[in-house]
Amino acid sequence: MAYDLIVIGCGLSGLYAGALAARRGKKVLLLARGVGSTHIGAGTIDVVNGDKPTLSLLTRSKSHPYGIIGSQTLKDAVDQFKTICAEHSYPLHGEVGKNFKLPTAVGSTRHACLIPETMLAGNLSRKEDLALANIHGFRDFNAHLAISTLRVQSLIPNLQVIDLHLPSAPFHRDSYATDLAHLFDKPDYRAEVIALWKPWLKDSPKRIGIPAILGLDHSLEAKGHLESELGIELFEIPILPPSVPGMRLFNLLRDDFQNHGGRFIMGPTVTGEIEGGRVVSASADMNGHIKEYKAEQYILACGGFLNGGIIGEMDGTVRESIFNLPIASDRPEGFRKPFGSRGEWTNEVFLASHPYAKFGLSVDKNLRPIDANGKVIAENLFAVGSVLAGADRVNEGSREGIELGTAWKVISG
Amino acid sequence: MKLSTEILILGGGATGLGAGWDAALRGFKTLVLEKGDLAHGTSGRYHGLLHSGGRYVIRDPQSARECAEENQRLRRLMPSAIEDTGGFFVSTPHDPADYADQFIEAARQCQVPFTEIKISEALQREPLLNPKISRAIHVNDASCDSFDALHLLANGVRAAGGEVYLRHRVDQILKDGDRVVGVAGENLATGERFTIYCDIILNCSGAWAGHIASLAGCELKVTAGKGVMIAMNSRLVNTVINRLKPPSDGDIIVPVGTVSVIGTTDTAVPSPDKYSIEDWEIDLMMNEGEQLIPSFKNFRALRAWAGVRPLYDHDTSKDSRVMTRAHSLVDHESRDGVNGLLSMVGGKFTTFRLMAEQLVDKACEVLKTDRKCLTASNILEPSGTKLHSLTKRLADIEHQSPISNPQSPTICECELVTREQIETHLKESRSPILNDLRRDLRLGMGPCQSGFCAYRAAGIIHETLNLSATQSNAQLLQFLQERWKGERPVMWGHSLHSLELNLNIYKTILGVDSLKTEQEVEVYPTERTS
Ligand SMILES: Cc1cc2nc3c(=O)[nH]c(=O)nc-3n(C[C@H](O)[C@H](O)[C@H](O)COP(=O)(O)OP(=O)(O)OC[C@H]3O[C@@H](n4cnc5c(N)ncnc54)[C@H](O)[C@@H]3O)c2cc1C
Repeated sequence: MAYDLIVIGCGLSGLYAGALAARRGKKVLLLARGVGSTHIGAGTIDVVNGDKPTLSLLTRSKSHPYGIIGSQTLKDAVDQFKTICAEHSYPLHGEVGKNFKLPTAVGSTRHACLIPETMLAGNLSRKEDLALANIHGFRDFNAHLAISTLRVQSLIPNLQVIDLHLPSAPFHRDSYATDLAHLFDKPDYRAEVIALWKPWLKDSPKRIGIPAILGLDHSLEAKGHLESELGIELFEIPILPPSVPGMRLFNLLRDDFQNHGGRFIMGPTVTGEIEGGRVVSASADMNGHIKEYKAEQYILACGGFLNGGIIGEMDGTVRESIFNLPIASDRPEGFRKPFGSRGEWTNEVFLASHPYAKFGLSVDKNLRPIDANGKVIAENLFAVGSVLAGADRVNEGSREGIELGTAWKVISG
Repeated sequence: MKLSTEILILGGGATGLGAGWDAALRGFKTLVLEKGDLAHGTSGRYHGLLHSGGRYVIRDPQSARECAEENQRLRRLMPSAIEDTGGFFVSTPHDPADYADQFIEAARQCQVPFTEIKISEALQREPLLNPKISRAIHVNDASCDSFDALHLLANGVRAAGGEVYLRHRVDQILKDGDRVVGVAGENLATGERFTIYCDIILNCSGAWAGHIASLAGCELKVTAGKGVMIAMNSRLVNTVINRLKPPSDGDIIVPVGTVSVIGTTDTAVPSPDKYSIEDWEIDLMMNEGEQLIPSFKNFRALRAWAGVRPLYDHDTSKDSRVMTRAHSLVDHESRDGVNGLLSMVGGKFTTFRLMAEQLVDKACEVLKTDRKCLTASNILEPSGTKLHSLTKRLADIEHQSPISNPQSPTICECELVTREQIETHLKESRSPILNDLRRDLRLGMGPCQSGFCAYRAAGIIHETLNLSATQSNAQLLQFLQERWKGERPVMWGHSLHSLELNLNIYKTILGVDSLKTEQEVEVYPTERTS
């Protein structure tokens, strides 16, 4: 069976491209070795750290993915994504060009363009009193640290910590965010939580932040239930992976894709074959069982260093892992070699910007990978998301913006 | 702060703590000063090999003999810090064919115990070893954990009535004419100045010994030689592996705890405080590793670090006693006319006890008292539980489910450090710092490169010590940066994934890069009210 489109990779960009194509009636196959950065992200759509001028700087840059797709495409991509989320009753709030300022789990401030309803009340531009819940025995969120940082770094006058316990759960190991999220999906469990928490919240501020554990499948229901019974406003703060809000986005897009007839195979290691200027097939290796798939068009959404889409070797070479396409660094000379020496990939300061971050695929204006001479490598191959060169996603706060924007660009043309 | 003591020891490495223990056991009022944390100097950055002596049998028979004897002693003295891995010397196809026979002859003469074993037996015990090896000789090498050993020694000093002060940096030596009478310096934890008077100073400051001597107006030519080591992600071998060839770079693999460490190199550097690790040094080590273990490069390199050897330029016209080629005891009275200062330079971790004995013997001579050394027959007992025995930690965690003890979740999953351990450690430590948990508990030393535990531990330290936000955050940032120093030289393959994950956690999710530094913070009440 031949497909119209094969998408390789199921991060935000791969899933979004798959869902958009499936919505347009295309026969789409999505192949992925494992989940992408949704599961370790904040579960928000970050477009840029900072304000409008910072964004327009990037959209005017020739080498940045935003510059290649343009600001209108970025805006349309984000709007369309909002529409899809709303259809799945998981509305996102916000718009391109504006940012919410939200508290982090250390109490600093992070910027996000689109945020789910579960994070809305955390908005630091609102000055009402705020409390964070320290959940007894839960390792991945420390309200004491966050609140004392917020006392120094925010302008909210009344900030408090509330120490809360959770009803006991039958864990034989330490719990992760996902463990608790599964519990919060259950109305019975929430009723126990409400009974336990109620006395402690009587005199506390009415705006209360908790780690992002508010249910995977029924988060808004969980939020509403707790809020009405406890008489508070509740918001989530993103914490250490696995990311519950990120998984909600993943599940939502996967469902959307499959509801529109898309086929999703998770698990195989994929390699692609290019012949005579065209991709001819993608091979999926499932524990030694190899199967070949063919399509008219292919989208490479395999992610960057984070997900194994790009690999930096000990001998100083950098390669793309599916088609072995040439990788560009942001140096003008361009390709394969001048990555300098391994020692130059990174900065000696951990939190600084690292040069390797901008390594990736160079593409033409239609997002087709090109070689050192600017020539398209395969006319039916497109690249989206974090495999693209020219952006320092962590530093710019642009990961999701690039993923959505480039996926939309390829599908909508 | 003003104090006085009889014997004052500068440097809290193996040599200084060894000398402190020795002096305290002989009944001297003893104080050891160390500018960093325990194991801050070379002793905390060494290769971890308790030498059998095998490495020195051909080039330096006296060192070989000393190592062989001290090896046996230390096994009795501090059993809890030593893992009896045994060692192999093997001939790879790249090693000189006749070296094995020379080795055997020399080992016999130096009385370094050995047994030649069949290749099949060596390969059975170490399946990853190069199958093309042609000889294999078993020796008494062992792996010795420096953090454990130094904690034992510091406890030993205190138990014998002596004291060890950490974060006390000496920057002045006080003299009365030609006599050294004390030191002055700064308590780096509090910023306070201190003055300490003493009868004699033992300079055990390793690669920094030249600087200390210069404070007393003595010239001691000590230059620093850097050696690089790489920790590989797992125990590729359970036996120390050496090569049957003249000692050189990257020719030893030592299993230490959960990792195996390959080393080392030797390049002169301008200062013991300032050096970097170069790509070529890493490449050299990884390539040499392939000679011993053919798939070596396929395993993940976790982190790299370097230690500095003091390279002592013997001035034989001045030195009256050059003890051995391996370590030198310098009496600055006969050498420079400065009374009350002895320096011990060079040597090995393996021979620290012997060096300490010789040093304190000399001190007795100077102080005109006759007191016998007691260290050879004493045992250093671990206080409480052993610091980081991974198997014990696993057993503890398994038998204590989170239901029975929700207060003590596992904070570092790679090295199995619990909240309880961290809290206990913070309470017991005299100058608790997040970064020290790394050395003392192995927090953040595992494959996730502290991605998960750094945040968790920063919260715990904030709560336990009642720190301000600025203090806790500064500690978190420092911890992340310190970990990065070790990871950066081996940034390829899997480690790059990990780096991206950790940047994602700390910058994207936690936004630690926007934490304000001290100068920028707005003034708001910082006390915790709840
Ligand atoms: C790369 C390398 C690998 C090695 N591997 C092995 C091995 O496998 N087996 C083995 O037996 N030996 C090994 N050695 C040798 C061994 O590590 C050293 O001989 C031993 O650790 C030296 O201990 P030390 O106490 O003399 O010095 P250090 O441990 O360096 O102690 C000196 C201390 O003095 C302190 N100090 C300096 N200035 C001041 C001041 N002004 N005020 C207060 N304190 C100060 C320093 O902070 C430092 O902690 C190795 C050495 C190197 C460099």
